Amino acid sequence: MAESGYDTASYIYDVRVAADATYGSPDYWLRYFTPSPNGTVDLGSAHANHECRDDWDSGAKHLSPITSPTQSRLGGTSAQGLADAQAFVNALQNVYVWVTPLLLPTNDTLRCWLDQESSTSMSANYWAGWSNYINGYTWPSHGQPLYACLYCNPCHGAGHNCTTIAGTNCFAIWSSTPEICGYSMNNLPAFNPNKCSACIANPPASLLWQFAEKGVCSLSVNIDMNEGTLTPYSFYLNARP
Amino acid sequence: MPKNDAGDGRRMALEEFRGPGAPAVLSRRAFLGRGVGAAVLLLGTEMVSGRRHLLDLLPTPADGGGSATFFLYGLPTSDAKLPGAIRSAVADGATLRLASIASELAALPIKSPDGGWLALTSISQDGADAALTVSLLDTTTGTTSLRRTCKLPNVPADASLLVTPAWAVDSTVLCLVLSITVPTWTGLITKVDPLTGAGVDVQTANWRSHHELLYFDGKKGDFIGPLDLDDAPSLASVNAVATDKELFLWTIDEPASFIREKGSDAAPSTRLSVFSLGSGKPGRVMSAPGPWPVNGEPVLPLGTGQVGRLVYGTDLHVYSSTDDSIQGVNFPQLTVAARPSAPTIESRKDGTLFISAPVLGQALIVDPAKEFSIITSVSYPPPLYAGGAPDSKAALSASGDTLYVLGDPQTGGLAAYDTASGKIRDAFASAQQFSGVQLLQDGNILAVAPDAPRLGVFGPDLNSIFSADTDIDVVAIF
Repeated sequence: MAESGYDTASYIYDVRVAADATYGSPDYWLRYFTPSPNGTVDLGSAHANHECRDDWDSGAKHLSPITSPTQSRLGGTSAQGLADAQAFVNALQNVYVWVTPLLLPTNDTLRCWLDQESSTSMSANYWAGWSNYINGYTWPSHGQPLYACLYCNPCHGAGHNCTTIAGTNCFAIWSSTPEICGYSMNNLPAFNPNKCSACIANPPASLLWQFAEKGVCSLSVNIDMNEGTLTPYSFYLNARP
Repeated sequence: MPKNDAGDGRRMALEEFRGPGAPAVLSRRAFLGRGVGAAVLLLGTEMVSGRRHLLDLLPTPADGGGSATFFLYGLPTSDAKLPGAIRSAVADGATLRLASIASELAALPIKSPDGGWLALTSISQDGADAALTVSLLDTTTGTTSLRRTCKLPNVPADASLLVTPAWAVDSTVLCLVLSITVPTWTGLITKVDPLTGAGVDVQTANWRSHHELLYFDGKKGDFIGPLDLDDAPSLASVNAVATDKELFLWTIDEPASFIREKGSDAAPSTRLSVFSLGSGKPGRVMSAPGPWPVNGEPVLPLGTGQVGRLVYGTDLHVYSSTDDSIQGVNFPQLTVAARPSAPTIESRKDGTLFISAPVLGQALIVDPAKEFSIITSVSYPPPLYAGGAPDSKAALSASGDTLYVLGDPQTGGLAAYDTASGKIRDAFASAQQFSGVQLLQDGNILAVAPDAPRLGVFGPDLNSIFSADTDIDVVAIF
């Protein structure tokens, strides 16, 4: 069953009323966590609770984390990837501690997204450092619940996107393409994200699709959809913070 | 009006060139007859193969003397497992000569404040013998002037080593912050892929980071350090910047290392430590406002003797060089948008600051001597590749009267704005979408693209001079 939601670096409490009224009520919000240049959930306890409160009020009640390190770092070493993953996991932990009703998925499987923008080439070393830290991180009382996933434009450009993650433990792709405007929450397109199968063998599946981007489609937020595979693997709220 | 149309963006300069009023395709003779020369791509034969060390690749032959020497740092298109490659490039209007210099650098190269050096760092870890090598490239000739290696004792073979460099303002001392992350426990687990149900083997580990300082004297070729800051467990990433006398270093204790009950508000805050150059003991330590030092916050020395840290992409925190005072400056043009915005900031020769926020389509010139007032503000359509690498998305002419930016998503190419009026002055329309732009020493403009041909050189009024390809995806331009 199709799900849909918003992703944005804006704060949920700034954009959700207008977004809900204009495009529909979301099933989830995809929000930025450190390291990202701005717009993060983890600015502080009060801010994180405010964000989650508006997540709840929008009707979503699910939160999926993405991190957007300075893009030049993605072409760097495994040490850089490890350092960025370490900061990301600490930001996740902070928000988890700060927001009492925010819980890990009951299946202890939390998809964690790394932002690779279209013109960014990622090194295999960086991905190894980042994904190994994420996949191997031990969360207190929850084993290793984090799953490394990648936001990218599959098979774009020189091929460093999907080719970099070929044969590694990347558990899902969030595709930024194709962009198709004119749809919204209440009028979803057929699920048809670009896939890594166009350039590598045995690729991770494109499970999430950013089909309408703010800039291209003149929206106030970016709109995403999937086939029921996101909310079970996201943070969820069991009460209003 | 668009000045030029570069066609499908996939042609080489010898094949096609269009200028104002010119035929769509010019012959080589006609091309040369216009006085703009032809692109001749001479790629250095010393290509990277295997896992050769930096020391094996230096120095490249001295062949400077071109009208514009620049350096491209990036990822080889042939092998994404060899990050940190750097190429020197000499453009003289008729020829682009590229040479491979090194690969597998440990950090982004960093140019000295006087522009004379480009510092490269590499790390070797052979068993328990870790070492860091610094090489200084002469930015005029593209050759290596100095290379020294420092052993790093007490670094386990399985440690992860991250290097953050910062030049002193007088370009004599290179400060190197080493983030040393060590696995304190490792194991092998099987995770279940939630999509397929298949089990996959995953290495699990507990990691613990601390920092050490190294100072490299570029004149003497000597190292001081490594000096252990004894700050474990910290987050590995840092912000670092140096003045002529001090190193400013932002770090933070690792939050997850604290045992906290759910619902607790407790969390460590960012810490600023100020070291006299050459010292491992901070003269000052203070709590620093703003984000963790892990987001690539731009930091720079200001002409006023202060130090600036651009945080959240919106605010400049100005630190005193003499006491613990911090001044916050907000720029209303810089906001939080749907996509993360990572503005860059650089000092200009006249002491003003150039701030570029491509995701927002904003460029500012700010004067620290006038309470950071905005003296110029230009708005332009955010380009298609506003958020990806390389970081350099806009460039100011030396006089400051022209701003060069990436073209809007519809027209591609480049655009030039009059900074006095804020109005567009020239444009180069192209189906090719560029991802980065840089001013060259000779006043020409270098544009880079994620797709071949990856390089384009333009005159100050955006007349296309030539395009060419390189064998790396460009991450940074120096």
